Amino acid sequence: MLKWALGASQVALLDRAGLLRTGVARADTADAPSRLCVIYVPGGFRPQYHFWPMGDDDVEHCVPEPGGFAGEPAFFRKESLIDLGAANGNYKPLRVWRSWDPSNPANRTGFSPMMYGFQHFDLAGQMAVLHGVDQGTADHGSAFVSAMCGVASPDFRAPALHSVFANHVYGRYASTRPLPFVTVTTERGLPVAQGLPSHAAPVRVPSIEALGPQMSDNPMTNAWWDKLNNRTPSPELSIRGDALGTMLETTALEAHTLKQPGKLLGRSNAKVDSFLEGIHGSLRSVSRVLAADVVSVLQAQKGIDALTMKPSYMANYGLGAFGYTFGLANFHMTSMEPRLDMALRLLKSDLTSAVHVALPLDFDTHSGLGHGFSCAHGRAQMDIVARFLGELKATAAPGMPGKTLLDDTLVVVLSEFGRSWAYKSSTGFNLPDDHHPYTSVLFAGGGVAGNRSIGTYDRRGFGQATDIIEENGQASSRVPRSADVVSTAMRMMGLDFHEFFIPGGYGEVVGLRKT
Amino acid sequence: MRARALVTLLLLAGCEAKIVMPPPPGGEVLADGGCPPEGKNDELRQALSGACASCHSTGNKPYFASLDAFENGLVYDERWVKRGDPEGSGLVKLLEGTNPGSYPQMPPGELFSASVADGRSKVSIDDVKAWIRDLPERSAVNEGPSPGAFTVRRLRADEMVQSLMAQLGLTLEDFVSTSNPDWRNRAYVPAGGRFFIWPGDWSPGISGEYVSDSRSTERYETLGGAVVLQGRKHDASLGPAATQTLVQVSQAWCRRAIDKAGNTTVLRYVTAADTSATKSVEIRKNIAQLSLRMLGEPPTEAEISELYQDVYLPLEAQSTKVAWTAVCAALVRHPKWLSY
Repeated sequence: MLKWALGASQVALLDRAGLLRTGVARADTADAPSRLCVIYVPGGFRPQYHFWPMGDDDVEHCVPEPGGFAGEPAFFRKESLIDLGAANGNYKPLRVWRSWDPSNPANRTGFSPMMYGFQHFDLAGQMAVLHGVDQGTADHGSAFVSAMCGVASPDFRAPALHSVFANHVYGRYASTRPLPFVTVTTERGLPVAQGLPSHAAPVRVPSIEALGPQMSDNPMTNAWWDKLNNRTPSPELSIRGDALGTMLETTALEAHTLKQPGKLLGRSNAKVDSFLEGIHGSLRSVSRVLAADVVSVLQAQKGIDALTMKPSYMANYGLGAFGYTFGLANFHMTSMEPRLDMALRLLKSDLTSAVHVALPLDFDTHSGLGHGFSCAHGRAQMDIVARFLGELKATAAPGMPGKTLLDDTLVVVLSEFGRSWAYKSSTGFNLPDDHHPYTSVLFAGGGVAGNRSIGTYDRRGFGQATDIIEENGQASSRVPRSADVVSTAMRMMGLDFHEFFIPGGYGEVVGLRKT
Repeated sequence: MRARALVTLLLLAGCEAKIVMPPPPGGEVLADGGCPPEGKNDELRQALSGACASCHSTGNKPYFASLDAFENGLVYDERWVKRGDPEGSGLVKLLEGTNPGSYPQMPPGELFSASVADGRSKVSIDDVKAWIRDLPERSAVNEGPSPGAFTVRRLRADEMVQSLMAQLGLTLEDFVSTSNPDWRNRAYVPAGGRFFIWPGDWSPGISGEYVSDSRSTERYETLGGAVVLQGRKHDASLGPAATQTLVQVSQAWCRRAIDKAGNTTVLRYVTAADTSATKSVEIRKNIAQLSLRMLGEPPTEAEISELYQDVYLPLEAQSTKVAWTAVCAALVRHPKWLSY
């Protein structure tokens, strides 16, 4: 029987990643974005209906005949494809189905404004899409893990990219961002810090309503803090009593609690010591969050601001900033707004370095209507992503003069995998609707080379080789994997190859990073 | 004799797989804290660890995490080591940079001889080949559980909820409305301000009746609880989110236990009217019993004094209930309460 866990330690891995050698690693690229926002689309999406990856002549082989879904136009032909903007270098520009009326994008008679948001907010210059990524599995759970950390497995074998980044910049923002990594919603899974220090582990902030009971020491909100919330500042210490160079405000109870894990160090093996360090770090994190009164800050922070005035092209949809309807009343999307509003509050308030938000609609349809669903809802959700990016673009980055929040944030939009592709047969289109291990990823914001469509698929939806720089610096051409997505995101955020580690190897996909 | 054997066993247990931080830069990553190698295979594991363990102590190829991992995953897997045939062994090919797989060279990006030259590997390629030539048979390997294995895990969220209710003398009636005679079989209606936590797929949830306040189930998930109906597993780590919830629940539930009429789980030898001015002995005795109740072992005098001096006394002036809430919550947040 294998006993992998026996005496196992994360320490060596962390050292390989350069994350512990000096306590915490620091980003050394001043111009790289200082925030990460991962938007996860549950269930497996069909990116070919959002951003066309292939040659125009492939459309008729891979996209069903134009029709409708729930009162909305669905599917397209090559004649309606357009570039989102001028090509950037020797790369294919982003190419989308112009489903909107160019003379009046709000027109819904025979048209759909969905995806127009990318033009409305002039986003092409700050976004790129990687196509044909091999996730290594077609199982939801393993593929979610694969998307988050780059290794397909039922359990995390490496920390999620959010955690790696939050840990990387922790030293720089320890005193100003008490919530290094926040998950707003966690449909289909929770990205975890697997082995990284507790400050890189996700804190869940599911809703503004949940904040008070969860994160406040105000007795008006939580009566059990009555006369127990008197805090005193003192130097923050590690579990071994070493000064960390920061101050921490604690109550008498918290100060006592923080002393206990250190007393148990060295009694067993390194794994137990690591466990104790995790507890100590988590307790410090809680004190920091409570002392910072993040509840008041987040409650006061306006999430949706620029979008309060609904974009003109959304005039005929009748819902809020992040909503949409199909037909007259065939479908109402209302559950998107609270979670994206919370994500915006977190980014705008400068309380956090990494945010994970899962979108509410699950694409695991397994239905004959799955393609129509994927096309119509997928494009609607991408339009909401465009609005989200537009709000970030309209917001100044806190503490960074001249930069917008979009400049200072890398937004990664992904799903755990794709869904099986439509294909032409002698009798028409077949519309299989199952899990498909190849997918695409949208990168937007800081660090991203603008308006590039990198990688592609064959007509059955299998990823094709693209240029990659391997972790050892060698150039290669192969099908990109989830590890390369994580690795490329890390590179966009200013990390060098040696500053993180993904078991199984990884590289950077050429052409996606702004250089 | 048995006692001596036990001491020896425990000493050995203390040596097992002790992994220390490397001195930057380079240097050994894995050192067994002075413990002698447990045979030839362990000798080689330790000798190679400086070059290999930084990548192979965790993840899906944690060969250097322990001797067992080394032997089971590498030494006696013919993909890597063919006993008596070093030239045909994948490990040698990897070290020589001739492996036909996706990784031709280990460590990647450099020659193994560089690791030998700078001391990360204590053995040369010839030593490795000689070891493979004389490798003992697998039957010599003990595949039974290692007496040195010490595992610790966090309490799962369901264990936390159930343990804390039992230890604090709390029941569902302390958290939810009982005004409906059939309340146990209906959606629970949590009373305000109690910080109720309940799994979404426990009864009555599984019968189609859900806890009416979604915050209750949300907190359970934040505490790291599994939700079978959503395919969510128990969180194996105890990160800031779970700790955040635990901090709140420890104070909220301890205070509830103290306020509950007739409940002596927290206040057994004293009442809320007793103060240190006249009842210091009883207060210390109560701290001792509460500590025993929560942590499962008798506290030392020093531990009692620390709780008394650092937590109880500074808060007693505010109110004895506040002081006892803090003592109780401190025990719930203790690593020994949090772990199993």
